Amino acid sequence: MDEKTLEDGDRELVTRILGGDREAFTRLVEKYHPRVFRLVFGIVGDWQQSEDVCQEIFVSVYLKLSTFGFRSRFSTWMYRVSVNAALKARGRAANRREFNLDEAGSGPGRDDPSPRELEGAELLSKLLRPLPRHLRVVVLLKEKEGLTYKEIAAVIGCTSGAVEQRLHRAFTKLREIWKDRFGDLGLEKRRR
Amino acid sequence: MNCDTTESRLKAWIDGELDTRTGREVETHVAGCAGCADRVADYRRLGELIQRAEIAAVGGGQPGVIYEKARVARRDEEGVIRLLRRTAVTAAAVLVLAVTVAVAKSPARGGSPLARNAETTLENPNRVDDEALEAFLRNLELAVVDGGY
Repeated sequence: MDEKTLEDGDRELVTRILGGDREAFTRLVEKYHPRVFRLVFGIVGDWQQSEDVCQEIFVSVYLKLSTFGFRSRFSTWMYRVSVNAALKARGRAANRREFNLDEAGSGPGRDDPSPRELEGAELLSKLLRPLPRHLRVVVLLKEKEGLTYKEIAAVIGCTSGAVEQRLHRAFTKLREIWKDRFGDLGLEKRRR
Repeated sequence: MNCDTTESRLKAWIDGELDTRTGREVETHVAGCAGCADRVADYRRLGELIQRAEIAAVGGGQPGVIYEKARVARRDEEGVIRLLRRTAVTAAAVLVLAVTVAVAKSPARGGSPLARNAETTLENPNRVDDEALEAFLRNLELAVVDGGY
């Protein structure tokens, strides 16, 4: 299904939800929950908290839907609401010092379990842990959600140039940290 | 292009975000520079790794639960708005009455129809200036409508 058809589908769903159609809301949640969860988890790093934040996001979407107005693509708006909610939640967790991912410091420690043992979500958390949240967001939107720089810029409210800079900084940092441990991440080290 | 100018464009080049001319310049440099080629390979590996990390949410979002929460939240929100409206209308009505009383007690003569009405009413409670009464009721109605009551 192409982007335009997807957007048309969203428009219809939004219109129906605004008309009080519960089934349409259910479909919207089912459609967007996987991506929203993926994004939120990538930022927050805690499974249970991500589930809670996702619920908050969809409740918020339901309440704010009348203000959407189709001035941008619905998916862009959805990502924006999600990123804001996830960053806020992460801030709250950090304030409470309950955020597991940041407790280990800015990079992988030698006593950490080998990233080979980590799968899926754990691997992602482990890999992105060293990044500050504003860099983590652009990496996730690019690599996991497949957005273009222009689309990412629309989600986080900056220019495409700023997105490019952030991605460059993020990958430079990740490379510095993981370069010698690609083997640990399940990637073969290159022969030099 | 040299390494310094190319390095910051490498990720954008990998992502296909550069214009054709810049893209070609980067490509040419990378083809002849082992350091930058190495960096490109690492960036690609990292990208693949991030993309490969599958995350599947459990429960599919529980739309029913979310819908109920959203309905409760909307009801609460509407309750607060109703309360604020009522407060605003009450405040407006009190203000109108206060102004009316103040004007009525004012010694000034020949003022607004409302003032004349107030005076007339005070002097002769049985006689009411229709025009002033209408103006007063209009004011009150406007206040109520503005309050959205």
